[in-house]
Amino acid sequence: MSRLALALSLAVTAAIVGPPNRADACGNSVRRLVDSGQEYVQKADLLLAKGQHRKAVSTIREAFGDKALAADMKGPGAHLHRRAQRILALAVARSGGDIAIGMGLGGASKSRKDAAIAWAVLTLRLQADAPAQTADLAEALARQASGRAEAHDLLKGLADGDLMPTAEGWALLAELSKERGDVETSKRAVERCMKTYARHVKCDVTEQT
Amino acid sequence: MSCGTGRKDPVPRDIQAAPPPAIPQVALEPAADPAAVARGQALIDRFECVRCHDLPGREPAPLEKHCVRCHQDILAGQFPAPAETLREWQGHITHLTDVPALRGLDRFRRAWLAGWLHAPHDLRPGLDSTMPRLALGTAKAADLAAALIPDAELAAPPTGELARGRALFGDKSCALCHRFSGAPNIAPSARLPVPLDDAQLQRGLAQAPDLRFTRERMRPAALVAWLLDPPRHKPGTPMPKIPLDEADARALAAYLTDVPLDPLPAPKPVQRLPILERRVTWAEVEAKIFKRTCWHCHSDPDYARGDGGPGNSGGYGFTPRRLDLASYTGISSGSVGDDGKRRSVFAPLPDGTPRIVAHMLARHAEVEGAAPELRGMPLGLTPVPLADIQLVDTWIAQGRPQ
Ligand code: HEC
Ligand code: HEC
Ligand code: HEC
Ligand code: HEC
Repeated sequence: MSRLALALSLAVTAAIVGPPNRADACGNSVRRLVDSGQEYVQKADLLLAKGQHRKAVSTIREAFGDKALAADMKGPGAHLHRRAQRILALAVARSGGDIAIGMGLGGASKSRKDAAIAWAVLTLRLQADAPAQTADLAEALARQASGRAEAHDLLKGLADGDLMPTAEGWALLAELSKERGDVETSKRAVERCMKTYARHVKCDVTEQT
Repeated sequence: MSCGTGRKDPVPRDIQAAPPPAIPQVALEPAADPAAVARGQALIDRFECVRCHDLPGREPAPLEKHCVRCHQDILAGQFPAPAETLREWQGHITHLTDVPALRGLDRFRRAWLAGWLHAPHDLRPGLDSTMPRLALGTAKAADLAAALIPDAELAAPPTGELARGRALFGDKSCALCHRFSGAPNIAPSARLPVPLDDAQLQRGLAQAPDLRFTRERMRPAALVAWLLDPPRHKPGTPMPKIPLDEADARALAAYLTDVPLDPLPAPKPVQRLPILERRVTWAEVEAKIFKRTCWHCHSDPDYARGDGGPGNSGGYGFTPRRLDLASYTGISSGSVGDDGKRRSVFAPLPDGTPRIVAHMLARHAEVEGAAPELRGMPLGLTPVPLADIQLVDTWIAQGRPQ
């Protein structure tokens, strides 16, 4: 996207974002008035959590355009940008690369899917410094045949520390450990997943006997 | 006492009608060690005292970091936000709306300040917030006290008449603003000691300390000087100047210092309520607890330009704990322990209490006057009601449904 188009999209964004309904951490409440992109990223975050991957992607693209895919950003918007990228990457992982996220990444063809997943793995790997990001990375890795062992190890580590941040993480651990014949872990992961009552997550990926 | 309000030459004792009662002579505090003062100055920066307090000679924290000024601006309607938003915010903000400015601190005993900074207790019943328990040991607390009170203590004037002080305490309506817990109840007289407008009265009520602690905290010479003219000692103080002569002030000082006090009630043990039968979801604990108070210090840095608050990104001298209480994913991601490793906030302590619950119970213990090992949460603010802690406890026991 050209600079002009980006500037325009941000201007439009700023115009339609109303006053914040509730404040976050104190500073944030005010930042919502200042950083118009924030409303979009938070909305996309919620959509993703509800399993609405396509809408999450389009929400991010509405605010950032192709810039969401750019490797790095400096300055005050850097954290928001980082988060936007993480949402895109996770949407890619959860949709299996079906959704076009821009720059030829994602779509119907296998090569587009693979490219998107490779991008998601790379992006999340750069961010994997806390449990939430680590679990996201595992979801993306699990989409690559070569990544499933690493995905399993990452999730197992989180589970062992009682640090699994998402129901999706439990569900995937259940699947991956079942695959390796670790029925015990798989069963426990299913139980934990069920206990979260996350409506959009299928916990019983493994049929227990 | 740099401002010279203290009496350098005590009045000779022989002009007094009765000999002063024998009080244990406490050695006057000498000037502080310059090395300690220098270390303490650096600690004032490190612990970010200016995020809450005005401190002479120091730049206040910028508005987006200032935990008190931003709230004050919002409450005063001076914050640039849409009117409707402002009104909503105003309805929510009760904490950190006023703190004492750190001026004229040489009225306090340095030794008292060092001990109190290390283990602060509530001084002002009218304030919702207390001084947070910072991560400082006794040595750092002593250095801070040296930097805040570098000057030597002045000799005390002779003791005044306690009985006269008691009478003045009622006549001058001191109890209008002040609590004096443990002392006999003396009702304020029906009129104000000096004319005060509503705003002055409100600030006075909010900031008046419980006089119980004054005898430990104030240097005797400074106490008399304070009573004679508070604004002279601390410009901008909400305690008004109440007309008193020197003998009145000494008499009131004697009353404040020497009237026998009932002992403080022993801290009540904090009861953890039993786990509930009914279902508790994240949505409920989020709305009632975590997004009411906690996330103002424990938020997601991605949505706050990298600063997730003191309990996440660090601040007030705390190392980053990276605890995000603004979302299900955040709370499930735990916090960073002293060893630098992530740990679950739900992990049970040896007595079976989940860690996050123990931190909230510890805040009750702190307010009760105990000094629990765990730092109470919310840090320095009103404890979470026990019935709400019970909800969190139940939610954890039920496997943390989303
Ligand atoms: C989060 C806000 C906050 C921070 C940060 C903070 N304080 Fe405080 N402080 C308070 C509050 C609130 C009170 C009033 C407590 C009371 O009266 O019970 C207080 C009271 C005090 C008092 C007592 C003053 C008086 O007149 O009674 C001193 C001294 C003090 N703080 C020093 C410090 C120092 C030194 C630092 C930095 C190391 C610091 N504070 C950091 C909130 C804060
Ligand atoms: C830029 C302005 C701003 C700054 C800086 C700020 N706050 Fe706030 N604070 C707010 C707003 C706005 C609200 C009300 C939010 C709402 O209504 O949802 C609030 C609410 C709160 C609340 C919940 C309401 C209450 O009184 O219990 C707490 C606690 C709080 N802030 C603590 C802090 C602390 C601690 C700091 C410093 C680390 C801080 N705030 C800095 C703007 C600010
Ligand atoms: C309008 C309310 C008000 C009245 C009336 C009032 N005070 Fe105060 N007083 C305050 C406030 C507020 C402070 C704290 C000032 C500060 O920290 O800047 C204070 C501080 C003090 C202190 C210092 C205590 C400490 O521990 O730091 C003493 C002593 C004191 N007052 C005594 C008295 C006496 C005696 C009277 C009656 C003659 C009196 N006050 C009347 C509001 C009042
Ligand atoms: C005024 C800011 C503030 C508020 C409000 C606050 N916290 Fe904290 N919290 C902190 C700070 C600072 C630390 C780091 C303390 C330390 O390092 O010892 C912390 C640490 C914690 C820890 C321990 C993390 C660890 O690994 O040691 C828990 C648990 C916690 N907070 C829970 C809560 C809960 C629950 C609430 C709301 C009821 C809350 N906090 C509100 C500032 C705050």
